[in-house]
Amino acid sequence: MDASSGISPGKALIAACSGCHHASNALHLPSLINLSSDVMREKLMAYKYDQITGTLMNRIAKGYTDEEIALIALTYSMQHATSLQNNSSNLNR
Amino acid sequence: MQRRQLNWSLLTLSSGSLPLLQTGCASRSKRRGHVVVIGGGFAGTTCARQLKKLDNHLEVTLIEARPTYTACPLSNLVVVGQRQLKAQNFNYSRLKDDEILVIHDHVIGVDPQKQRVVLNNGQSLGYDRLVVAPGVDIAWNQLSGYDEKAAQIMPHAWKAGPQTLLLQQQIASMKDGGLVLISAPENPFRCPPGPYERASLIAHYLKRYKPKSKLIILDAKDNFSKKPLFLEAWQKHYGDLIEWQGLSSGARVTQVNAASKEVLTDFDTFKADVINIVPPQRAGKIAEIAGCTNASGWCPIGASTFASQIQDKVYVLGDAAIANAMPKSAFSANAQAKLCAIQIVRNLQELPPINTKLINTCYSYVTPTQAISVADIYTPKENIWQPVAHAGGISQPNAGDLLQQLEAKYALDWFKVTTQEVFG
Repeated sequence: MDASSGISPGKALIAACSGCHHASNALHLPSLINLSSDVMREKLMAYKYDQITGTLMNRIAKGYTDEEIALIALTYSMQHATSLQNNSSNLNR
Repeated sequence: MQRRQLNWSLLTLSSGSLPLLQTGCASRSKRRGHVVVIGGGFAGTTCARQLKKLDNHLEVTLIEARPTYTACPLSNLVVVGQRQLKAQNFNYSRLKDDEILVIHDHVIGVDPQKQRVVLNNGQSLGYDRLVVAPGVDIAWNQLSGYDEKAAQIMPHAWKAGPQTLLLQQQIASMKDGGLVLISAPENPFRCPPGPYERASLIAHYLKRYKPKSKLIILDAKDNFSKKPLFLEAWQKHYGDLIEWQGLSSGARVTQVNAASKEVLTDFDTFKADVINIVPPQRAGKIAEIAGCTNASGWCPIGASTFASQIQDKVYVLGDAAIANAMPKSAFSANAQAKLCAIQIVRNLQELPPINTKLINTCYSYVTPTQAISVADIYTPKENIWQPVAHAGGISQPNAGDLLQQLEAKYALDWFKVTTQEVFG
């Protein structure tokens, strides 16, 4: 992996998220791996402005500006694309 | 400069460890530096693995004395027999797959000037950057009478392992009608809601198996994490089985007498059947050896980077660090470590640090099937981790059984996901 790919402001901003949203073995916590940038942004905005109710995502989403939420969503979707690329290049090797 | 340090480390490692080190390295021309991480808990292990993920040309060494890590989160369930201690155990086998050199030994010296770490076996290794993540040590005798011998009679059970089982056995063998006493310390300490979660779960056990018993919490504080939610849950589930006494009522424990099983507060003396002392704590000894602690016993850091404010090229993570408003929790440690790894990689590439936000989330069980949470977002303002206003906080009061059952499921999931990320 190129050394610069993992150290962008977007990557730093999502560092904490994978403590809960990561592996597929979680039975109740949703995985974010297959969410598009738009869907994720809309969902986080809905939590932030209390249009939907979670257990703690409303509290967390309120800690971020709308711009930060857009960057979180974009970074997650790009991470998904990168991991797919990496997986396929591993398979081709 | 970095190259020279690295050559030093190769020259002075004993021959026994050289083959390991070489298999763990990319070709020398691509190597970007050697990061040594001391401490294989949530903070240190996360950091070591993230460093390697971010830049696999980095040489990363993790030093951890014990081959098995016993995690603290969920260990209060072990205390009341709702979970096996072995479910808390993790090892470092996956780090070898990541080409991280894992050394199981004690660090007995750190020379920040020469950028070297000395191990108990006589080995010495150089570093370009050092990460210190030793967790907490019990500050023995800071509470008068509470030493290692006393802890065999009045367990702290604040490091998961034999102490957890000792407390479990004491509660299991206590007679019905007995008194359990928990002493909670002043801030800061590891796992701020921990004493109150423990009280909740012990009360649940007592109500079911030893209903004439009582539990008293003697607290050196008037406020504690998630207080309104704990008080609500205690009232609802346990009535007057739990009695909490705070600092203002003179409940600060000032002395213990293990032989007579007595606890002295500012105003009173308590005799109890089971006494659980959550003792005063400080940064793990390694932090002191590395010269990273201040008079408080904890380690001052630059908020964004976790770089030690005392030693150059040294970073401090997790419970040992003074992360201001961020609590000493496994979630914080894991989140801090991921950010710190980014900052170290950037620093080695002479890029400026990134100013960004972090999260802490922490679940506490109020019964074995119901939990409450606190979540906060932190921003490094004026070099201090401060909570973002109008965000975060504790679960809705009177949330009802369904929501609390859901939070209990999330608590278990959080443990699975995080330990998978850290050790899996």
